[in-house]
Amino acid sequence: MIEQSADRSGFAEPKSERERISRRRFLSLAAASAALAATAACEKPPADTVVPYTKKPKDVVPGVADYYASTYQEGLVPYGVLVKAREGRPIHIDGNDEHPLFAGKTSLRAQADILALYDPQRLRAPLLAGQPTSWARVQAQIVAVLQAANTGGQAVLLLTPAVISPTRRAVIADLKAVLPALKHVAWEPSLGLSDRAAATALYDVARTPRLRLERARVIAAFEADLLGGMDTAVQAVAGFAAGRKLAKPGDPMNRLYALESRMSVTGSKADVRIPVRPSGAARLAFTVARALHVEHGLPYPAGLTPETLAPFDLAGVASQYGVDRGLLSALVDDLAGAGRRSLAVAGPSLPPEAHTAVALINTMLGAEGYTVDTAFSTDAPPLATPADMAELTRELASGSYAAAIFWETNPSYAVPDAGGFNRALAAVPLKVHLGLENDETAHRCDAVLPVNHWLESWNDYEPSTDLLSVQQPLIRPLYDTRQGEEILLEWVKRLTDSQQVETDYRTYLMARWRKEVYPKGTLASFEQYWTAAVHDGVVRRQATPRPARRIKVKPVAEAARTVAAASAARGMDLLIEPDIKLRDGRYANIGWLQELPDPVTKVCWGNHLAISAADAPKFGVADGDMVSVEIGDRRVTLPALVQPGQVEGAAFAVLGYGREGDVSAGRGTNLFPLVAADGSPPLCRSGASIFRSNGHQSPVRSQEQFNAQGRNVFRLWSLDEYAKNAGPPEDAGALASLNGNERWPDHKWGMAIDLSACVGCGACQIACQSENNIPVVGPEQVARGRIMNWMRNDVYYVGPADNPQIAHVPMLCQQCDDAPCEPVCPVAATVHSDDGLNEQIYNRCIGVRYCAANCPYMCRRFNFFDYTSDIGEPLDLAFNPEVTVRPRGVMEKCTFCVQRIRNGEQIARDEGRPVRDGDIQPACAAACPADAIVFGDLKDPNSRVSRLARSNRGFKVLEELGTRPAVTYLAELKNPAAPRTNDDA
Amino acid sequence: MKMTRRQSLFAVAAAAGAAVLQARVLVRPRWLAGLMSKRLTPFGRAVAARDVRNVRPSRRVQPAPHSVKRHD
Repeated sequence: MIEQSADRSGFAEPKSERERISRRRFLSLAAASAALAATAACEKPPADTVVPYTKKPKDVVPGVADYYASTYQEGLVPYGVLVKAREGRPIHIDGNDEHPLFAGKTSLRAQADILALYDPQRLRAPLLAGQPTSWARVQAQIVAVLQAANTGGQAVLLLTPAVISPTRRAVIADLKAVLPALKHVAWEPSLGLSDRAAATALYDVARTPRLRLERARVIAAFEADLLGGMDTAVQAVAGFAAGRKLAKPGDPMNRLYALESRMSVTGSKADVRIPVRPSGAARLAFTVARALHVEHGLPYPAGLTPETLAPFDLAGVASQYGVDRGLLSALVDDLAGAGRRSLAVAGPSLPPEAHTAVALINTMLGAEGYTVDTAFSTDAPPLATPADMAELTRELASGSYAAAIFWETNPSYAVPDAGGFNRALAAVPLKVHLGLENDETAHRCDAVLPVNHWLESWNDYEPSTDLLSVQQPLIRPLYDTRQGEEILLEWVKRLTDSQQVETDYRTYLMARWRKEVYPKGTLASFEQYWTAAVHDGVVRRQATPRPARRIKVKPVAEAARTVAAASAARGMDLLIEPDIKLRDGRYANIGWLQELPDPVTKVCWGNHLAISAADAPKFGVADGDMVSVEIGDRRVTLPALVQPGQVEGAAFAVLGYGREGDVSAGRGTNLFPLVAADGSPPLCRSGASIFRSNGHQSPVRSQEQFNAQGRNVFRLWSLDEYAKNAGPPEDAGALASLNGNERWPDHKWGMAIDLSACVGCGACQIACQSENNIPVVGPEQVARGRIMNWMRNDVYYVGPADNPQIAHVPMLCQQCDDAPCEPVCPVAATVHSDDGLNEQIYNRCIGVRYCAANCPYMCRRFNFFDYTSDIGEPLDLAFNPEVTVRPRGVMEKCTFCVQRIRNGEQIARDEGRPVRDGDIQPACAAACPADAIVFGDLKDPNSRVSRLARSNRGFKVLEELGTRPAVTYLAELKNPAAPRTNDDA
Repeated sequence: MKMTRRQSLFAVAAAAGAAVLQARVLVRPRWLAGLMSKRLTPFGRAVAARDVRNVRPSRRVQPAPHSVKRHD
């Protein structure tokens, strides 16, 4: 019995062989296993070379970022920028917070242009007849031709972009002095210059006014994409947003009217959007001016008789263009009520008559000199129109030019008749190209001279008469390149055969500043003054404000007569504008910008012809069907896009695509052939024929679903709804948790995004991409939903397709307190930090993608391919060393820029103080021109983000799921006008 | 020791397999450390930091002369 019971109780001798393993044997096997594991775990370390500085530059501390103020020219706008450098290489660009005009903000193209510095396709040495050569040889050949032109009296062409640098202007003047036959033409291909023509007629001199949207209570945009496509958008967005951030119901709010044919960014933010064909904009503007006089008694400028504007009857014009008469009357009432605190703006593509009518409105309202501020505006630099370029083409073809020099311009791509221009070039004996890349024009040039990127260059700019800004290099030229100004100075030196000519541009610049800028009687020495200017990036100067411009009535009367006499437009209207990302195509080889979705259509990697839902059936086309647009003898074929909000009878397309280049080749269509070069408004065409062509090219979109399906992803309230719904968000402030606030011992990082201020421009996306080494995946992958942007801007359409409202919703990882992605990760690669961050640990991630499937915000991005290993020199110089690049098979997402958080904490620790509110800014918040994104510590009840998290407009996206996001959104407010009934009107 | 030859070979193969598995799956993603703490361990941090090799550029560059830093 005892034996039996012992057997049952397990004390008996084991029977099977397996149970007979000895303790010693087990230990030896375990030891062997551990030893093998340890051996196998000892991977071969990666092949790497640690190269210390043998001669360390004194300004470089490895691991510590340096910041340099500089200036970036984009068209006619010199942005003040602050460039971050690591170990001598620029890696990130933000706005210069000491710049009075831009207040720490800059354009997304300025941020993205860092890729142009490290572009592998950059020219690295001079070329002569397509073959590498030395600077001495190529310069000698060019100077010989210039000398011969001087003696032979032949002309020499110098074609440049707008020259807004005083010292660059001086260099060109020096060259002109020794080369009298030099003809300097400045040209910005995407500017129609109708506004300038109107201003010159109205005020004798053209100046670019500063539009003070922050002063405006009522804004009327006539086909003017103030907040998106216009080159003053960064300032305009800041001013507009300032009037939209309401703290409580009843606070004053501006009102934006958009009278436009296409759905622009401005239209998407408008409180009242009035669809109208572009050919009707001028008539509508004159109608508003007349109604201000007739209905509100605002006087016309002296000399303008009421009869001149008599044809512009409000009821008649509203009926002619199918515009809601009540809304038009409401616009007139609002403008009159706001007086000088109103602002009317005409889009740059509109004909001069529309600009004249808008100037008349601003003058009548008293806005000229207040919201249209020219007190410190500089005179607009001379620029060639498309018609001028057509004349230049004829001159070149005549054989009267000995040489043509193209300095950072690309006419072989961007003149309307590029074929004719290229044929004309054959008649020029010497063609010289100064530029960064071997572009369409460089291919056709005999000598190609590589120039420095702006981050390798010195220069100065005059943003306004009371400011000068400085551009300084951050890095020695990467290649055998020279600054364009130094190339010209070398020509001056050789042509004069004088050793006195200064060819070092920095020395030249300083000498000019010492003579012309340095104020006499300053206590500081010039060297101190110069160092301070370079340090700050901007210098204030004494300047007397100009009085408000006085309008001349004769051109107003002429414009009114022209518009009144014009017959109704036949055929389709076609509006052409520079692309909001690529402008005239000069940024087409920057992958970040190509992949940045359009703020409204969400299309990237190409352009299309936007047509209305009403017109699409007439042409028998749907999204992606190829259509041909024909105006006169010009025809362009591109894919169609049926765009909600596009007005019937008008189409819209953007410039900047169809370039040559590694990134841009085959992407989109060149629209420049449809730009008018006959003196008519270049970018606002009438009489276009549109017909279906063969083929189909589906638009590449980052977002496919534009209907929120009733889910809680955005809130779009009128002011009445705001008064009714205002209340604190359910979860705000309390941070209710089972563990209470003890869960976050020091900080709880959070964000607030004001949808009322956000215009969806995409600056945050580019900043995020630059900061976090986010790869470009290309159109094929984007089409498969594999875009890698950690930050995206969703758009949702609300209302009828012919005139919908649009909500822009910036969407990033919500850093949920109860994150659905965390419990499903089988390897704990995504966990919560003790300061409230949802961390993604790349080394743990095995790529099962459960987290992406479980994220209700769709904010996780998976590396389907290895996007970074092949990035070699020099593109790897653009990487931010503070952020790990991710290998294939790994999930990634927004980190709230954890590297910036840790850096801010480290600095505070070093200084022996707590982290202050505002110390830490993620890249998106720093870049947002509307200041719509606020980041901070939710544990600090007085921090800005905490106050916004308690806002009566606050809500959490999909908060009903119980994810408890750390991002609070503030409802978008609309300030709609009460339309007057037709009886009232 | 009563272990058969077959069993001992199996045990050695299993140990080697486990070692390889540890090297490729367990150790490399360091999930073991993760499971233990739900936090990135100092060891994990060191390993993560090693990946910075991926963003170290292949050449040294020199800052421009005469430029003036913003935050001295």
